[in-house]
Amino acid sequence: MSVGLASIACDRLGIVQDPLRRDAIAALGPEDKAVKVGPRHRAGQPCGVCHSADGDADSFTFAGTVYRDPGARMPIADIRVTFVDTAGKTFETKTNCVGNFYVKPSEFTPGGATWVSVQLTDVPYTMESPIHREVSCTACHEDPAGPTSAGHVFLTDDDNTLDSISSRACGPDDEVSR
Amino acid sequence: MSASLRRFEAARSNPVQTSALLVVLLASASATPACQAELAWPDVPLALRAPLYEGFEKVADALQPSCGTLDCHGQKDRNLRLYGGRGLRLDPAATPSEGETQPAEYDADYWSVISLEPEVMAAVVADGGRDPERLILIRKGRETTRHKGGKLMSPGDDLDRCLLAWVAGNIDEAACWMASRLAAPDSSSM
Repeated sequence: MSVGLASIACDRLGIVQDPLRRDAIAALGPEDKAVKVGPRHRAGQPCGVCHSADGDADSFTFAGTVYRDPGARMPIADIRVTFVDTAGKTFETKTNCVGNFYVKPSEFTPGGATWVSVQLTDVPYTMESPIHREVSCTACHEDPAGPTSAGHVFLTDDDNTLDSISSRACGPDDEVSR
Repeated sequence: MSASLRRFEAARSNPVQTSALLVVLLASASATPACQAELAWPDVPLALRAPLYEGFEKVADALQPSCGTLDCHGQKDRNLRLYGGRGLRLDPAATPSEGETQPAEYDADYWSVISLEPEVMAAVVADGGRDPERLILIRKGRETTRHKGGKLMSPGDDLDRCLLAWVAGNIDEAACWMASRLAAPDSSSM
Protein backbone atom coordinates (compact mmCIF):
# COMPACT_ATOMS: atom_id res chain seq x y z
CA MET A 1 0.00 0.00 0.00
CA SER A 2 2.77 2.42 0.88
CA VAL A 3 4.47 1.65 -2.40
CA GLY A 4 1.34 2.58 -4.26
CA LEU A 5 1.02 5.85 -2.38
CA ALA A 6 4.59 6.80 -3.13
CA SER A 7 4.12 6.12 -6.81
CA ILE A 8 0.97 8.19 -6.86
CA ALA A 9 2.67 11.03 -5.01
CA CYS A 10 5.55 11.32 -7.40
CA ASP A 11 4.31 9.75 -10.60
CA ARG A 12 0.83 11.21 -10.51
CA LEU A 13 0.18 10.82 -14.19
CA GLY A 14 1.86 7.46 -14.52
CA ILE A 15 4.21 8.79 -17.17
CA VAL A 16 7.47 7.47 -15.75
CA GLN A 17 8.38 4.60 -18.05
CA ASP A 18 11.83 3.70 -16.77
CA PRO A 19 11.32 0.65 -14.51
CA LEU A 20 14.41 1.49 -12.46
CA ARG A 21 13.07 4.95 -11.78
CA ARG A 22 9.67 3.57 -10.93
CA ASP A 23 11.35 1.28 -8.42
CA ALA A 24 13.26 4.23 -6.99
CA ILE A 25 10.04 6.21 -6.68
CA ALA A 26 8.37 3.31 -4.91
CA ALA A 27 11.31 2.99 -2.54
CA LEU A 28 10.76 6.56 -1.33
CA GLY A 29 7.69 5.48 0.59
CA PRO A 30 4.64 7.64 1.27
CA GLU A 31 4.61 11.33 2.00
CA ASP A 32 4.61 12.41 5.63
CA LYS A 33 0.99 13.55 6.08
CA ALA A 34 2.11 16.19 8.55
CA VAL A 35 4.24 17.93 5.91
CA LYS A 36 2.79 19.78 2.98
CA VAL A 37 4.24 18.76 -0.37
CA GLY A 38 6.66 21.55 -1.17
CA PRO A 39 10.07 22.82 -0.09
CA ARG A 40 9.90 21.12 3.29
CA HIS A 41 8.86 17.65 2.17
CA ARG A 42 10.94 14.47 2.04
CA ALA A 43 14.02 15.91 3.76
CA GLY A 44 17.01 13.63 3.41
CA GLN A 45 15.57 11.72 0.46
CA PRO A 46 16.99 11.65 -3.10
CA CYS A 47 15.15 14.62 -4.62
CA GLY A 48 16.22 13.83 -8.17
CA VAL A 49 14.21 10.63 -8.26
CA CYS A 50 11.16 12.80 -9.01
CA HIS A 51 12.68 16.24 -9.61
CA SER A 52 14.59 15.44 -12.79
CA ALA A 53 14.02 15.73 -16.49
CA ASP A 54 12.51 12.27 -16.75
CA GLY A 55 10.61 12.45 -13.48
CA ASP A 56 7.13 13.79 -12.88
CA ALA A 57 7.90 16.87 -10.82
CA ASP A 58 9.58 20.19 -11.50
CA SER A 59 13.18 19.55 -12.50
CA PHE A 60 16.01 20.53 -10.22
CA THR A 61 19.64 20.99 -11.13
CA PHE A 62 20.73 20.07 -7.63
CA ALA A 63 18.87 19.46 -4.39
CA GLY A 64 19.52 18.04 -0.99
CA THR A 65 19.43 18.39 2.75
CA VAL A 66 22.17 19.77 4.98
CA TYR A 67 22.67 18.67 8.58
CA ARG A 68 24.76 20.17 11.32
CA ASP A 69 27.46 17.55 11.73
CA PRO A 70 28.50 14.10 10.56
CA GLY A 71 26.88 12.43 13.56
CA ALA A 72 23.31 13.40 14.32
CA ARG A 73 20.87 14.34 11.57
CA MET A 74 20.06 17.80 12.91
CA PRO A 75 18.86 19.94 10.00
CA ILE A 76 20.16 23.50 9.89
CA ALA A 77 18.40 26.44 8.27
CA ASP A 78 19.85 29.44 6.47
CA ILE A 79 23.04 27.73 5.38
CA ARG A 80 24.50 29.24 2.25
CA VAL A 81 24.97 26.57 -0.41
CA THR A 82 27.27 27.80 -3.18
CA PHE A 83 27.94 26.17 -6.51
CA VAL A 84 30.70 26.97 -9.00
CA ASP A 85 31.23 25.24 -12.32
CA THR A 86 34.38 24.78 -14.39
CA ALA A 87 33.78 28.09 -16.15
CA GLY A 88 33.60 29.91 -12.81
CA LYS A 89 29.86 30.50 -13.01
CA THR A 90 28.38 30.55 -9.52
CA PHE A 91 25.00 30.26 -7.86
CA GLU A 92 24.03 30.53 -4.23
CA THR A 93 20.93 29.45 -2.36
CA LYS A 94 20.01 28.75 1.26
CA THR A 95 18.59 25.87 3.23
CA ASN A 96 15.16 26.10 4.81
CA CYS A 97 14.11 25.02 8.30
CA VAL A 98 14.37 21.31 7.53
CA GLY A 99 17.77 21.74 5.87
CA ASN A 100 16.39 21.37 2.34
CA PHE A 101 17.64 23.38 -0.61
CA TYR A 102 17.10 23.15 -4.33
CA VAL A 103 18.35 24.76 -7.52
CA LYS A 104 16.17 25.08 -10.60
CA PRO A 105 17.58 24.86 -14.14
CA SER A 106 16.32 28.39 -14.82
CA GLU A 107 18.50 29.60 -11.97
CA PHE A 108 21.67 27.66 -12.65
CA THR A 109 22.68 25.11 -15.24
CA PRO A 110 26.36 24.34 -14.90
CA GLY A 111 28.70 23.74 -17.77
CA GLY A 112 30.55 20.68 -16.60
CA ALA A 113 31.87 19.68 -13.21
CA THR A 114 30.47 21.66 -10.29
CA TRP A 115 31.93 22.19 -6.84
CA VAL A 116 29.73 22.92 -3.88
CA SER A 117 30.31 24.43 -0.46
CA VAL A 118 28.09 24.92 2.57
CA GLN A 119 28.61 27.82 4.91
CA LEU A 120 26.94 29.45 7.90
CA THR A 121 29.66 31.81 9.06
CA ASP A 122 32.78 33.00 7.26
CA VAL A 123 34.28 29.57 6.83
CA PRO A 124 32.98 27.46 3.94
CA TYR A 125 33.00 23.69 4.02
CA THR A 126 33.78 22.61 0.47
CA MET A 127 33.25 19.18 -1.00
CA GLU A 128 36.54 17.82 -2.33
CA SER A 129 35.10 16.02 -5.33
CA PRO A 130 33.02 17.83 -7.93
CA ILE A 131 29.51 16.88 -8.96
CA HIS A 132 29.31 15.71 -12.54
CA ARG A 133 25.78 14.54 -13.25
CA GLU A 134 23.80 13.84 -10.10
CA VAL A 135 20.83 15.95 -8.98
CA SER A 136 20.47 14.46 -5.51
CA CYS A 137 23.05 14.92 -2.79
CA THR A 138 21.67 11.75 -1.22
CA ALA A 139 22.75 9.65 -4.18
CA CYS A 140 26.32 9.87 -2.88
CA HIS A 141 25.57 11.07 0.67
CA GLU A 142 23.23 8.45 2.02
CA ASP A 143 23.38 7.22 5.58
CA PRO A 144 25.15 5.27 6.83
CA ALA A 145 28.55 6.13 5.39
CA GLY A 146 30.17 3.14 3.70
CA PRO A 147 32.13 2.10 0.62
CA THR A 148 29.55 3.65 -1.71
CA SER A 149 28.49 6.67 0.33
CA ALA A 150 30.14 9.50 2.21
CA GLY A 151 27.26 9.79 4.68
CA HIS A 152 24.89 12.75 4.95
CA VAL A 153 25.90 16.29 4.00
CA PHE A 154 26.98 18.28 7.01
CA LEU A 155 28.00 21.81 7.85
CA THR A 156 30.99 21.21 10.10
CA ASP A 157 32.85 18.56 12.05
CA ASP A 158 34.47 21.10 14.35
CA ASP A 159 33.48 20.05 17.86
CA ASN A 160 34.26 23.53 19.19
CA THR A 161 31.53 25.19 17.13
CA LEU A 162 28.82 22.52 17.11
CA ASP A 163 27.07 23.72 20.24
CA SER A 164 26.71 27.22 18.86
CA ILE A 165 24.72 25.97 15.86
CA SER A 166 21.08 25.11 16.34
CA SER A 167 17.94 24.45 14.38
CA ARG A 168 15.16 26.98 14.11
CA ALA A 169 11.40 26.64 13.90
CA CYS A 170 9.74 26.66 10.50
CA GLY A 171 7.95 29.78 9.38
CA PRO A 172 5.68 30.76 6.49
CA ASP A 173 8.64 31.60 4.27
CA ASP A 174 9.84 28.01 4.46
CA GLU A 175 6.69 26.90 2.62
CA VAL A 176 7.17 29.20 -0.34
CA SER A 177 8.51 27.72 -3.56
CA ARG A 178 10.57 29.89 -5.84
CA MET B 1 40.45 -8.47 -3.34
CA SER B 2 38.96 -10.79 -5.95
CA ALA B 3 40.50 -14.12 -6.86
CA SER B 4 41.70 -12.81 -10.21
CA LEU B 5 43.31 -9.83 -8.54
CA ARG B 6 45.01 -12.08 -6.01
CA ARG B 7 46.36 -14.17 -8.86
CA PHE B 8 47.47 -11.02 -10.63
CA GLU B 9 49.10 -9.75 -7.47
CA ALA B 10 50.88 -13.09 -7.02
CA ALA B 11 52.08 -13.06 -10.59
CA ARG B 12 53.36 -9.53 -10.21
CA SER B 13 55.24 -10.26 -7.04
CA ASN B 14 56.61 -13.64 -8.05
CA PRO B 15 57.61 -13.94 -11.69
CA VAL B 16 58.49 -17.60 -11.19
CA GLN B 17 54.80 -18.34 -10.75
CA THR B 18 53.67 -16.65 -13.90
CA SER B 19 52.54 -19.95 -15.31
CA ALA B 20 49.61 -19.79 -12.92
CA LEU B 21 46.14 -19.08 -14.21
CA LEU B 22 47.02 -15.58 -15.21
CA VAL B 23 50.31 -15.01 -16.90
CA VAL B 24 51.66 -11.52 -16.89
CA LEU B 25 54.64 -10.99 -19.11
CA LEU B 26 56.02 -7.56 -18.58
CA ALA B 27 59.09 -6.16 -20.27
CA SER B 28 60.88 -9.48 -20.03
CA ALA B 29 59.07 -10.82 -23.09
CA SER B 30 61.41 -10.33 -26.02
CA ALA B 31 58.58 -9.81 -28.49
CA THR B 32 56.91 -7.25 -26.29
CA PRO B 33 58.23 -3.69 -26.19
CA ALA B 34 59.31 -2.48 -22.76
CA CYS B 35 56.42 -0.05 -22.62
CA GLN B 36 53.73 -2.71 -22.75
CA ALA B 37 52.42 -5.65 -20.83
CA GLU B 38 51.18 -8.84 -22.40
CA LEU B 39 48.35 -10.65 -20.70
CA ALA B 40 47.67 -14.29 -21.44
CA TRP B 41 45.43 -16.94 -19.98
CA PRO B 42 46.92 -20.43 -20.44
CA ASP B 43 43.60 -22.05 -21.23
CA VAL B 44 42.43 -19.36 -23.59
CA PRO B 45 43.97 -19.01 -27.05
CA LEU B 46 44.26 -15.28 -26.69
CA ALA B 47 47.01 -12.90 -25.77
CA LEU B 48 46.38 -9.21 -25.48
CA ARG B 49 48.66 -6.31 -25.08
CA ALA B 50 47.84 -3.72 -22.48
CA PRO B 51 49.52 -0.57 -21.21
CA LEU B 52 51.95 -1.21 -18.40
CA TYR B 53 50.71 -1.58 -14.88
CA GLU B 54 53.83 0.09 -13.53
CA GLY B 55 53.04 3.76 -13.02
CA PHE B 56 49.31 3.25 -13.56
CA GLU B 57 48.53 4.65 -10.13
CA LYS B 58 49.31 8.10 -11.51
CA VAL B 59 46.83 7.53 -14.32
CA ALA B 60 44.23 6.28 -11.85
CA ASP B 61 44.74 9.36 -9.69
CA ALA B 62 44.19 11.51 -12.78
CA LEU B 63 40.96 9.67 -13.61
CA GLN B 64 39.61 9.96 -10.07
CA PRO B 65 38.21 13.53 -9.92
CA SER B 66 36.96 13.64 -13.51
CA CYS B 67 35.65 10.12 -13.99
CA GLY B 68 35.71 8.22 -10.69
CA THR B 69 33.38 10.27 -8.51
CA LEU B 70 30.49 8.49 -6.84
CA ASP B 71 27.96 10.00 -9.23
CA CYS B 72 29.82 8.72 -12.32
CA HIS B 73 32.11 5.72 -12.65
CA GLY B 74 32.56 5.33 -8.92
CA GLN B 75 29.63 2.94 -8.99
CA LYS B 76 29.61 -0.84 -8.90
CA ASP B 77 27.15 -1.23 -11.74
CA ARG B 78 29.26 0.61 -14.33
CA ASN B 79 31.23 -1.16 -17.05
CA LEU B 80 34.09 1.22 -16.35
CA ARG B 81 34.23 0.96 -12.56
CA LEU B 82 36.74 3.14 -10.76
CA TYR B 83 37.73 2.91 -7.13
CA GLY B 84 39.54 5.62 -5.23
CA GLY B 85 40.20 7.25 -1.90
CA ARG B 86 37.56 9.91 -2.58
CA GLY B 87 35.14 7.66 -4.43
CA LEU B 88 33.99 4.07 -4.44
CA ARG B 89 35.94 1.99 -1.94
CA LEU B 90 36.91 -1.64 -2.36
CA ASP B 91 37.28 -2.32 1.36
CA PRO B 92 33.78 -2.74 2.83
CA ALA B 93 34.94 -0.94 5.97
CA ALA B 94 36.28 2.11 4.12
CA THR B 95 34.38 5.26 3.15
CA PRO B 96 34.91 7.93 0.49
CA SER B 97 35.68 10.43 3.22
CA GLU B 98 38.89 8.91 4.43
CA GLY B 99 42.27 7.68 3.37
CA GLU B 100 44.23 7.28 0.20
CA THR B 101 43.55 5.04 -2.76
CA GLN B 102 44.81 1.61 -1.78
CA PRO B 103 46.98 -0.75 -3.89
CA ALA B 104 44.07 -3.16 -4.34
CA GLU B 105 41.96 -0.29 -5.63
CA TYR B 106 44.64 0.65 -8.16
CA ASP B 107 44.68 -2.99 -9.26
CA ALA B 108 40.93 -3.02 -9.69
CA ASP B 109 41.04 0.24 -11.64
CA TYR B 110 43.74 -1.13 -13.94
CA TRP B 111 41.72 -4.20 -14.75
CA SER B 112 38.60 -2.16 -15.28
CA VAL B 113 40.26 0.23 -17.71
CA ILE B 114 42.13 -2.36 -19.77
CA SER B 115 39.15 -4.72 -19.82
CA LEU B 116 36.74 -2.15 -21.17
CA GLU B 117 37.66 -2.90 -24.78
CA PRO B 118 40.53 -5.38 -24.52
CA GLU B 119 40.96 -6.03 -28.23
CA VAL B 120 40.85 -2.35 -29.15
CA MET B 121 43.18 -1.49 -26.30
CA ALA B 122 45.60 -4.16 -27.52
CA ALA B 123 45.51 -2.71 -31.02
CA VAL B 124 46.11 0.84 -29.84
CA VAL B 125 48.96 -0.28 -27.59
CA ALA B 126 50.49 -2.33 -30.38
CA ASP B 127 50.41 0.78 -32.55
CA GLY B 128 52.23 2.82 -29.92
CA GLY B 129 49.12 4.81 -29.06
CA ARG B 130 48.31 5.88 -32.60
CA ASP B 131 44.70 6.86 -33.29
CA PRO B 132 43.64 6.69 -29.64
CA GLU B 133 40.04 7.62 -30.38
CA ARG B 134 39.56 4.01 -31.31
CA LEU B 135 39.16 3.68 -27.54
CA ILE B 136 35.77 4.56 -26.12
CA LEU B 137 37.65 5.70 -23.02
CA ILE B 138 39.12 8.54 -25.06
CA ARG B 139 36.02 9.26 -27.11
CA LYS B 140 33.82 9.50 -24.04
CA GLY B 141 36.28 11.70 -22.22
CA ARG B 142 36.49 14.04 -25.20
CA GLU B 143 32.74 13.64 -25.78
CA THR B 144 33.21 12.79 -29.42
CA THR B 145 30.82 9.98 -28.49
CA ARG B 146 27.72 10.84 -26.48
CA HIS B 147 28.67 10.88 -22.82
CA LYS B 148 26.19 11.56 -20.04
CA GLY B 149 29.02 12.94 -17.94
CA GLY B 150 29.80 15.49 -20.62
CA LYS B 151 33.16 16.59 -21.98
CA LEU B 152 35.89 15.95 -19.46
CA MET B 153 38.97 16.57 -21.56
CA SER B 154 40.14 18.16 -24.76
CA PRO B 155 43.06 17.15 -26.96
CA GLY B 156 46.21 18.39 -25.31
CA ASP B 157 44.89 19.12 -21.84
CA ASP B 158 46.25 17.43 -18.73
CA LEU B 159 43.90 14.45 -18.51
CA ASP B 160 44.07 13.87 -22.25
CA ARG B 161 47.87 13.92 -22.28
CA CYS B 162 48.02 11.65 -19.26
CA LEU B 163 45.82 9.00 -20.89
CA LEU B 164 47.38 9.25 -24.33
CA ALA B 165 50.89 8.92 -22.95
CA TRP B 166 49.84 5.83 -21.01
CA VAL B 167 48.34 4.00 -23.99
CA ALA B 168 51.45 4.97 -25.96
CA GLY B 169 53.68 3.33 -23.36
CA ASN B 170 54.74 6.24 -21.20
CA ILE B 171 53.67 7.91 -18.00
CA ASP B 172 53.36 11.69 -18.25
CA GLU B 173 53.73 12.30 -14.54
CA ALA B 174 53.28 16.06 -14.75
CA ALA B 175 50.09 15.85 -16.80
CA CYS B 176 48.66 13.08 -14.61
CA TRP B 177 49.46 15.00 -11.45
CA MET B 178 47.82 18.16 -12.77
CA ALA B 179 44.72 16.20 -13.82
CA SER B 180 44.55 14.60 -10.39
CA ARG B 181 44.43 18.07 -8.81
CA LEU B 182 41.26 19.12 -10.62
CA ALA B 183 39.88 22.02 -8.61
CA ALA B 184 37.19 24.61 -8.86
CA PRO B 185 38.14 27.81 -10.65
CA ASP B 186 38.59 30.59 -8.15
CA SER B 187 37.98 28.04 -5.43
CA SER B 188 39.65 30.32 -2.92
CA SER B 189 36.53 32.46 -2.90
CA MET B 190 34.25 29.56 -2.05
